[in-house]
Amino acid sequence: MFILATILVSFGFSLGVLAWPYSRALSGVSVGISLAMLAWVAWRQRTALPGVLGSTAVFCLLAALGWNLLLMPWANHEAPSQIELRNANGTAGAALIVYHPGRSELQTEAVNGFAEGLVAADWRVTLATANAAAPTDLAAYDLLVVGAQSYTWAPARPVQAYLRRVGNLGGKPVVAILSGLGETGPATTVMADLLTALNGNLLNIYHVWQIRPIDELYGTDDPRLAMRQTAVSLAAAWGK
Amino acid sequence: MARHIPNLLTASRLILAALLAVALWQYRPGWALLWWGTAVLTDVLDGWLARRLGVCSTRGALFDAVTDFVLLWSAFAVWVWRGAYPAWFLLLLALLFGQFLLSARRGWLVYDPVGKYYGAALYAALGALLLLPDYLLSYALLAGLTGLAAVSLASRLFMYNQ
Repeated sequence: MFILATILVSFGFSLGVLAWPYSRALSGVSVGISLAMLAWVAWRQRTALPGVLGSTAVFCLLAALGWNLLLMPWANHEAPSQIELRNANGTAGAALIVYHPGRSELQTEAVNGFAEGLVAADWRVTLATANAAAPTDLAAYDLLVVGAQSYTWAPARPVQAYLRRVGNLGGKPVVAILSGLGETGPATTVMADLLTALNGNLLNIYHVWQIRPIDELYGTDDPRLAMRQTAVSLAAAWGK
Repeated sequence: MARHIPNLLTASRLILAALLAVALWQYRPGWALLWWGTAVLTDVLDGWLARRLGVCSTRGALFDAVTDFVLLWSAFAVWVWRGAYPAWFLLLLALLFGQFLLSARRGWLVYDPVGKYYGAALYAALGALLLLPDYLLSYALLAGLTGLAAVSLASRLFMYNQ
Protein backbone atom coordinates (compact mmCIF):
# COMPACT_ATOMS: atom_id res chain seq x y z
CA MET A 1 0.00 0.00 0.00
CA PHE A 2 2.87 2.36 0.83
CA ILE A 3 4.47 1.63 -2.54
CA LEU A 4 1.28 2.82 -4.20
CA ALA A 5 1.20 5.87 -1.91
CA THR A 6 4.79 6.70 -2.88
CA ILE A 7 3.95 6.41 -6.57
CA LEU A 8 0.87 8.61 -6.19
CA VAL A 9 2.68 11.25 -4.12
CA SER A 10 5.59 11.36 -6.59
CA PHE A 11 3.26 11.51 -9.57
CA GLY A 12 1.15 14.21 -7.90
CA PHE A 13 4.13 16.44 -7.10
CA SER A 14 5.58 16.00 -10.60
CA LEU A 15 2.27 16.82 -12.28
CA GLY A 16 1.82 19.79 -9.94
CA VAL A 17 5.13 21.28 -11.10
CA LEU A 18 4.37 20.49 -14.75
CA ALA A 19 0.87 21.98 -14.60
CA TRP A 20 1.98 25.27 -12.99
CA PRO A 21 2.32 27.34 -16.21
CA TYR A 22 -0.86 25.78 -17.63
CA SER A 23 -3.30 25.87 -14.72
CA ARG A 24 -2.54 27.13 -11.21
CA ALA A 25 -5.73 25.45 -9.93
CA LEU A 26 -4.78 22.07 -11.36
CA SER A 27 -1.27 22.43 -9.99
CA GLY A 28 -2.66 23.29 -6.54
CA VAL A 29 -5.08 20.34 -6.56
CA SER A 30 -2.34 17.95 -7.66
CA VAL A 31 0.08 19.07 -4.92
CA GLY A 32 -2.82 19.14 -2.42
CA ILE A 33 -3.68 15.50 -3.15
CA SER A 34 -0.01 14.56 -2.69
CA LEU A 35 0.11 16.34 0.68
CA ALA A 36 -3.14 14.66 1.73
CA MET A 37 -1.65 11.29 0.79
CA LEU A 38 1.44 12.06 2.89
CA ALA A 39 -0.80 13.01 5.81
CA TRP A 40 -2.64 9.69 5.38
CA VAL A 41 0.67 7.78 5.48
CA ALA A 42 1.70 9.69 8.63
CA TRP A 43 -1.64 8.89 10.22
CA ARG A 44 -1.59 5.18 9.31
CA GLN A 45 2.06 4.47 10.05
CA ARG A 46 4.34 7.31 11.08
CA THR A 47 7.48 5.15 10.73
CA ALA A 48 6.78 4.68 7.01
CA LEU A 49 6.80 8.43 6.38
CA PRO A 50 10.60 8.90 6.03
CA GLY A 51 10.71 6.06 3.48
CA VAL A 52 7.84 7.50 1.44
CA LEU A 53 9.36 11.01 1.58
CA GLY A 54 12.82 9.72 0.61
CA SER A 55 11.49 7.65 -2.31
CA THR A 56 9.37 10.59 -3.46
CA ALA A 57 12.38 12.92 -3.38
CA VAL A 58 14.46 10.44 -5.39
CA PHE A 59 11.68 9.94 -7.95
CA CYS A 60 11.08 13.69 -8.34
CA LEU A 61 14.82 14.35 -8.69
CA LEU A 62 15.18 11.65 -11.36
CA ALA A 63 12.06 12.91 -13.16
CA ALA A 64 13.38 16.49 -13.14
CA LEU A 65 16.80 15.37 -14.40
CA GLY A 66 15.28 13.17 -17.12
CA TRP A 67 12.89 15.90 -18.18
CA ASN A 68 15.46 18.69 -18.37
CA LEU A 69 18.57 16.79 -19.46
CA LEU A 70 17.04 14.23 -21.82
CA LEU A 71 13.50 15.01 -22.92
CA MET A 72 13.68 18.79 -23.43
CA PRO A 73 16.99 18.71 -25.39
CA TRP A 74 15.71 15.76 -27.47
CA ALA A 75 12.46 17.50 -28.43
CA ASN A 76 14.12 20.88 -28.98
CA HIS A 77 17.12 19.53 -30.87
CA GLU A 78 17.59 21.72 -33.94
CA ALA A 79 16.69 19.97 -37.18
CA PRO A 80 19.40 19.71 -39.89
CA SER A 81 19.68 22.78 -42.02
CA GLN A 82 17.25 22.66 -44.91
CA ILE A 83 16.38 25.68 -47.03
CA GLU A 84 14.01 25.15 -49.91
CA LEU A 85 12.78 27.70 -52.43
CA ARG A 86 9.38 27.08 -53.98
CA ASN A 87 7.87 28.89 -56.93
CA ALA A 88 10.98 31.02 -57.48
CA ASN A 89 9.17 33.08 -60.15
CA GLY A 90 6.16 33.90 -57.97
CA THR A 91 5.07 37.51 -58.28
CA ALA A 92 2.27 37.98 -55.74
CA GLY A 93 4.62 38.20 -52.76
CA ALA A 94 7.54 36.61 -50.97
CA ALA A 95 7.25 34.63 -47.76
CA LEU A 96 9.84 33.11 -45.44
CA ILE A 97 8.63 30.12 -43.43
CA VAL A 98 10.87 29.12 -40.53
CA TYR A 99 9.80 26.13 -38.48
CA HIS A 100 10.91 23.48 -36.04
CA PRO A 101 9.59 20.10 -37.19
CA GLY A 102 9.72 18.58 -33.71
CA ARG A 103 9.19 14.90 -33.06
CA SER A 104 5.86 14.40 -34.80
CA GLU A 105 4.77 14.93 -38.39
CA LEU A 106 2.11 17.49 -37.49
CA GLN A 107 4.16 20.69 -37.69
CA THR A 108 5.85 19.65 -40.95
CA GLU A 109 2.44 18.84 -42.45
CA ALA A 110 1.02 22.19 -41.33
CA VAL A 111 3.83 24.40 -42.66
CA ASN A 112 3.99 22.47 -45.92
CA GLY A 113 0.25 22.99 -46.35
CA PHE A 114 0.72 26.71 -45.69
CA ALA A 115 3.55 26.86 -48.22
CA GLU A 116 1.40 25.06 -50.82
CA GLY A 117 -1.40 27.58 -50.26
CA LEU A 118 0.92 30.53 -50.78
CA VAL A 119 2.45 28.93 -53.88
CA ALA A 120 -1.07 28.33 -55.22
CA ALA A 121 -1.60 32.09 -54.86
CA ASP A 122 1.64 32.67 -56.82
CA TRP A 123 3.83 33.62 -53.87
CA ARG A 124 7.55 32.87 -53.78
CA VAL A 125 8.12 30.78 -50.67
CA THR A 126 11.35 30.00 -48.81
CA LEU A 127 10.96 27.14 -46.35
CA ALA A 128 13.69 26.75 -43.72
CA THR A 129 14.19 24.80 -40.53
CA ALA A 130 14.89 26.90 -37.45
CA ASN A 131 18.64 26.85 -36.87
CA ALA A 132 21.69 29.06 -37.31
CA ALA A 133 21.54 28.72 -41.12
CA ALA A 134 17.99 30.07 -41.46
CA PRO A 135 17.86 33.53 -43.12
CA THR A 136 17.78 36.38 -40.63
CA ASP A 137 17.70 39.24 -43.13
CA LEU A 138 14.00 39.70 -43.77
CA ALA A 139 14.28 42.63 -46.19
CA ALA A 140 13.50 40.44 -49.20
CA TYR A 141 10.32 39.03 -47.70
CA ASP A 142 6.81 40.45 -47.38
CA LEU A 143 5.69 37.91 -44.80
CA LEU A 144 7.38 35.86 -42.08
CA VAL A 145 5.71 32.61 -41.04
CA VAL A 146 7.01 30.83 -37.95
CA GLY A 147 5.94 27.30 -37.08
CA ALA A 148 6.57 25.61 -33.75
CA GLN A 149 5.41 22.64 -31.73
CA SER A 150 4.25 23.50 -28.24
CA TYR A 151 6.39 21.78 -25.60
CA THR A 152 5.44 22.20 -21.94
CA TRP A 153 3.24 25.19 -22.75
CA ALA A 154 5.83 27.14 -24.77
CA PRO A 155 6.80 27.23 -28.46
CA ALA A 156 9.76 25.03 -29.37
CA ARG A 157 13.03 26.66 -28.31
CA PRO A 158 14.74 26.68 -31.75
CA VAL A 159 11.96 28.95 -33.09
CA GLN A 160 12.21 31.30 -30.12
CA ALA A 161 16.01 31.34 -30.54
CA TYR A 162 15.65 32.08 -34.25
CA LEU A 163 13.34 35.04 -33.59
CA ARG A 164 15.78 36.42 -31.02
CA ARG A 165 18.60 36.08 -33.57
CA VAL A 166 16.57 38.13 -36.04
CA GLY A 167 15.98 40.75 -33.35
CA ASN A 168 13.89 43.74 -34.32
CA LEU A 169 11.29 42.62 -36.84
CA GLY A 170 10.70 46.23 -37.84
CA GLY A 171 6.93 45.88 -38.17
CA LYS A 172 7.20 42.92 -40.56
CA PRO A 173 3.88 41.04 -40.97
CA VAL A 174 4.15 37.73 -39.10
CA VAL A 175 1.97 34.63 -38.95
CA ALA A 176 2.57 31.83 -36.44
CA ILE A 177 1.49 28.21 -36.71
CA LEU A 178 1.46 26.40 -33.39
CA SER A 179 0.99 22.67 -33.13
CA GLY A 180 0.29 20.82 -29.92
CA LEU A 181 -0.95 17.55 -28.53
CA GLY A 182 -4.27 19.03 -27.45
CA GLU A 183 -3.58 22.48 -26.04
CA THR A 184 -1.67 25.47 -27.40
CA GLY A 185 -3.22 28.29 -25.33
CA PRO A 186 -0.24 29.09 -23.07
CA ALA A 187 2.22 28.75 -26.00
CA THR A 188 0.08 31.25 -27.94
CA THR A 189 0.60 33.82 -25.19
CA VAL A 190 4.37 33.21 -25.14
CA MET A 191 4.58 33.50 -28.94
CA ALA A 192 2.41 36.63 -29.10
CA ASP A 193 4.43 38.31 -26.33
CA LEU A 194 7.72 37.47 -28.05
CA LEU A 195 6.59 38.71 -31.46
CA THR A 196 5.18 41.89 -29.96
CA ALA A 197 8.40 42.48 -27.99
CA LEU A 198 10.39 42.09 -31.21
CA ASN A 199 8.22 44.67 -32.95
CA GLY A 200 6.55 42.22 -35.30
CA ASN A 201 3.18 42.92 -36.90
CA LEU A 202 1.35 39.79 -35.74
CA LEU A 203 -1.41 39.00 -38.24
CA ASN A 204 -2.63 35.75 -36.73
CA ILE A 205 -1.68 32.64 -34.81
CA TYR A 206 -3.10 29.39 -36.21
CA HIS A 207 -3.44 26.17 -34.25
CA VAL A 208 -3.35 22.51 -35.19
CA TRP A 209 -3.62 19.69 -32.68
CA GLN A 210 -2.78 16.00 -32.59
CA ILE A 211 -5.58 14.56 -30.42
CA ARG A 212 -8.06 17.38 -30.85
CA PRO A 213 -10.12 17.74 -34.03
CA ILE A 214 -9.59 20.96 -35.98
CA ASP A 215 -12.60 20.74 -38.28
CA GLU A 216 -14.58 23.23 -36.17
CA LEU A 217 -11.86 25.82 -36.87
CA TYR A 218 -11.03 25.05 -40.49
CA GLY A 219 -13.84 22.88 -41.87
CA THR A 220 -11.47 19.94 -42.30
CA ASP A 221 -9.62 17.61 -39.95
CA ASP A 222 -6.60 17.40 -42.26
CA PRO A 223 -3.94 19.84 -40.93
CA ARG A 224 -2.19 20.13 -44.29
CA LEU A 225 -5.39 20.97 -46.14
CA ALA A 226 -6.52 23.30 -43.34
CA MET A 227 -3.29 25.32 -43.51
CA ARG A 228 -3.34 25.29 -47.31
CA GLN A 229 -6.84 26.82 -47.31
CA THR A 230 -5.81 29.30 -44.61
CA ALA A 231 -2.82 30.45 -46.66
CA VAL A 232 -4.98 30.82 -49.79
CA SER A 233 -7.42 33.00 -47.82
CA LEU A 234 -4.58 35.05 -46.36
CA ALA A 235 -3.04 35.58 -49.79
CA ALA A 236 -6.42 36.58 -51.25
CA ALA A 237 -6.89 39.21 -48.54
CA TRP A 238 -3.28 40.45 -48.77
CA GLY A 239 -3.00 44.17 -49.29
CA LYS A 240 -6.74 44.75 -49.09
CA MET B 1 -28.67 -9.71 -5.56
CA ALA B 2 -25.94 -7.98 -3.53
CA ARG B 3 -23.43 -10.69 -4.47
CA HIS B 4 -23.71 -9.67 -8.13
CA ILE B 5 -22.89 -5.99 -7.51
CA PRO B 6 -19.08 -6.40 -7.86
CA ASN B 7 -19.49 -8.09 -11.26
CA LEU B 8 -22.03 -5.48 -12.36
CA LEU B 9 -19.58 -2.74 -11.42
CA THR B 10 -16.88 -4.54 -13.38
CA ALA B 11 -19.20 -4.96 -16.38
CA SER B 12 -20.08 -1.26 -16.28
CA ARG B 13 -16.50 -0.56 -17.41
CA LEU B 14 -17.33 -2.02 -20.80
CA ILE B 15 -19.93 0.72 -21.27
CA LEU B 16 -17.52 3.27 -19.81
CA ALA B 17 -14.89 2.10 -22.31
CA ALA B 18 -17.19 2.99 -25.21
CA LEU B 19 -18.17 6.33 -23.65
CA LEU B 20 -14.53 7.20 -22.96
CA ALA B 21 -13.44 6.28 -26.48
CA VAL B 22 -16.16 8.52 -27.97
CA ALA B 23 -15.24 11.42 -25.64
CA LEU B 24 -11.56 11.05 -26.57
CA TRP B 25 -12.37 10.84 -30.27
CA GLN B 26 -14.45 14.02 -30.11
CA TYR B 27 -11.97 15.61 -27.68
CA ARG B 28 -14.38 16.35 -24.85
CA PRO B 29 -11.89 16.46 -21.95
CA GLY B 30 -14.58 17.11 -19.32
CA TRP B 31 -16.63 14.08 -20.33
CA ALA B 32 -13.51 11.96 -20.80
CA LEU B 33 -12.37 12.82 -17.28
CA LEU B 34 -15.80 11.95 -15.93
CA TRP B 35 -15.82 8.51 -17.59
CA TRP B 36 -12.18 7.93 -16.63
CA GLY B 37 -12.87 8.88 -13.00
CA THR B 38 -15.94 6.64 -12.87
CA ALA B 39 -13.92 3.75 -14.31
CA VAL B 40 -11.19 4.23 -11.67
CA LEU B 41 -13.87 4.32 -8.97
CA THR B 42 -15.52 1.10 -10.19
CA ASP B 43 -12.09 -0.55 -10.39
CA VAL B 44 -11.43 0.29 -6.74
CA LEU B 45 -14.96 -0.53 -5.56
CA ASP B 46 -15.53 -3.89 -7.29
CA GLY B 47 -12.58 -5.59 -5.61
CA TRP B 48 -13.30 -4.00 -2.25
CA LEU B 49 -16.99 -5.01 -2.40
CA ALA B 50 -16.15 -8.55 -3.53
CA ARG B 51 -13.92 -8.95 -0.48
CA ARG B 52 -16.53 -7.40 1.85
CA LEU B 53 -19.28 -9.66 0.50
CA GLY B 54 -17.06 -12.72 0.43
CA VAL B 55 -17.67 -13.36 -3.27
CA CYS B 56 -14.08 -13.19 -4.55
CA SER B 57 -13.44 -15.63 -7.40
CA THR B 58 -10.79 -16.30 -10.02
CA ARG B 59 -13.37 -15.72 -12.72
CA GLY B 60 -14.29 -12.34 -11.21
CA ALA B 61 -10.64 -11.30 -11.01
CA LEU B 62 -10.13 -12.33 -14.62
CA PHE B 63 -13.25 -10.42 -15.72
CA ASP B 64 -11.88 -7.37 -13.86
CA ALA B 65 -8.60 -7.60 -15.78
CA VAL B 66 -10.41 -8.08 -19.11
CA THR B 67 -12.59 -4.99 -18.65
CA ASP B 68 -9.56 -2.93 -17.58
CA PHE B 69 -7.75 -4.07 -20.70
CA VAL B 70 -10.71 -3.27 -22.97
CA LEU B 71 -11.08 0.23 -21.50
CA LEU B 72 -7.39 1.12 -21.54
CA TRP B 73 -6.65 -0.46 -24.89
CA SER B 74 -9.58 1.28 -26.62
CA ALA B 75 -8.61 4.64 -25.08
CA PHE B 76 -5.02 4.36 -26.28
CA ALA B 77 -6.28 3.06 -29.65
CA VAL B 78 -8.04 6.41 -30.17
CA TRP B 79 -4.77 8.24 -29.57
CA VAL B 80 -2.93 5.84 -31.85
CA TRP B 81 -5.52 6.56 -34.53
CA ARG B 82 -4.97 10.30 -33.99
CA GLY B 83 -1.22 9.78 -34.42
CA ALA B 84 -0.26 10.68 -30.86
CA TYR B 85 1.04 7.22 -30.05
CA PRO B 86 2.74 4.60 -32.24
CA ALA B 87 0.74 1.52 -33.25
CA TRP B 88 3.31 -0.82 -31.70
CA PHE B 89 2.24 0.45 -28.29
CA LEU B 90 -1.13 -1.27 -28.76
CA LEU B 91 0.65 -4.48 -29.69
CA LEU B 92 2.80 -4.15 -26.58
CA LEU B 93 -0.31 -3.77 -24.40
CA ALA B 94 -1.91 -6.78 -26.09
CA LEU B 95 1.26 -8.82 -25.57
CA LEU B 96 1.38 -7.90 -21.89
CA PHE B 97 -2.25 -8.84 -21.45
CA GLY B 98 -1.73 -12.10 -23.34
CA GLN B 99 1.18 -12.93 -21.04
CA PHE B 100 -0.97 -12.17 -18.03
CA LEU B 101 -3.80 -14.40 -19.26
CA LEU B 102 -1.43 -17.23 -20.06
CA SER B 103 0.24 -17.17 -16.66
CA ALA B 104 -3.11 -16.77 -14.86
CA ARG B 105 -4.64 -19.70 -16.75
CA ARG B 106 -1.72 -22.03 -16.16
CA GLY B 107 -1.53 -20.96 -12.54
CA TRP B 108 2.25 -20.50 -12.77
CA LEU B 109 3.88 -18.50 -10.10
CA VAL B 110 5.86 -15.72 -11.69
CA TYR B 111 7.89 -12.95 -10.16
CA ASP B 112 6.75 -9.75 -11.81
CA PRO B 113 7.69 -6.62 -9.83
CA VAL B 114 5.66 -4.18 -11.92
CA GLY B 115 2.85 -6.18 -13.59
CA LYS B 116 0.63 -5.68 -10.57
CA TYR B 117 0.91 -1.92 -10.95
CA TYR B 118 0.85 -1.72 -14.73
CA GLY B 119 -2.91 -1.24 -15.00
CA ALA B 120 -2.72 1.53 -12.39
CA ALA B 121 0.14 3.13 -14.33
CA LEU B 122 -1.94 3.07 -17.53
CA TYR B 123 -4.93 4.61 -15.74
CA ALA B 124 -2.64 7.29 -14.28
CA ALA B 125 -1.08 8.04 -17.67
CA LEU B 126 -4.50 8.35 -19.25
CA GLY B 127 -5.67 10.75 -16.53
CA ALA B 128 -2.46 12.78 -16.68
CA LEU B 129 -2.75 13.30 -20.44
CA LEU B 130 -6.41 14.24 -20.14
CA LEU B 131 -5.48 16.91 -17.61
CA LEU B 132 -2.24 18.01 -19.28
CA PRO B 133 -2.38 17.41 -23.05
CA ASP B 134 1.27 18.15 -23.79
CA TYR B 135 3.62 16.47 -26.27
CA LEU B 136 6.53 16.15 -23.86
CA LEU B 137 4.36 14.56 -21.19
CA SER B 138 3.03 12.07 -23.74
CA TYR B 139 6.61 11.18 -24.77
CA ALA B 140 7.67 10.83 -21.12
CA LEU B 141 4.70 8.59 -20.35
CA LEU B 142 5.30 6.48 -23.45
CA ALA B 143 8.93 5.98 -22.41
CA GLY B 144 7.94 5.16 -18.84
CA LEU B 145 5.15 2.75 -19.82
CA THR B 146 7.36 1.01 -22.38
CA GLY B 147 10.13 0.63 -19.79
CA LEU B 148 7.72 -0.83 -17.24
CA ALA B 149 6.29 -3.19 -19.90
CA ALA B 150 9.80 -4.35 -20.79
CA VAL B 151 10.57 -5.09 -17.12
CA SER B 152 7.27 -6.95 -16.74
CA LEU B 153 7.72 -9.04 -19.90
CA ALA B 154 11.36 -9.80 -19.16
CA SER B 155 10.63 -10.89 -15.60
CA ARG B 156 7.83 -13.20 -16.75
CA LEU B 157 9.89 -14.70 -19.58
CA PHE B 158 12.78 -15.21 -17.19
CA MET B 159 10.56 -17.03 -14.73
CA TYR B 160 9.04 -19.25 -17.45
CA ASN B 161 12.52 -20.41 -18.35
CA GLN B 162 13.39 -21.45 -14.79
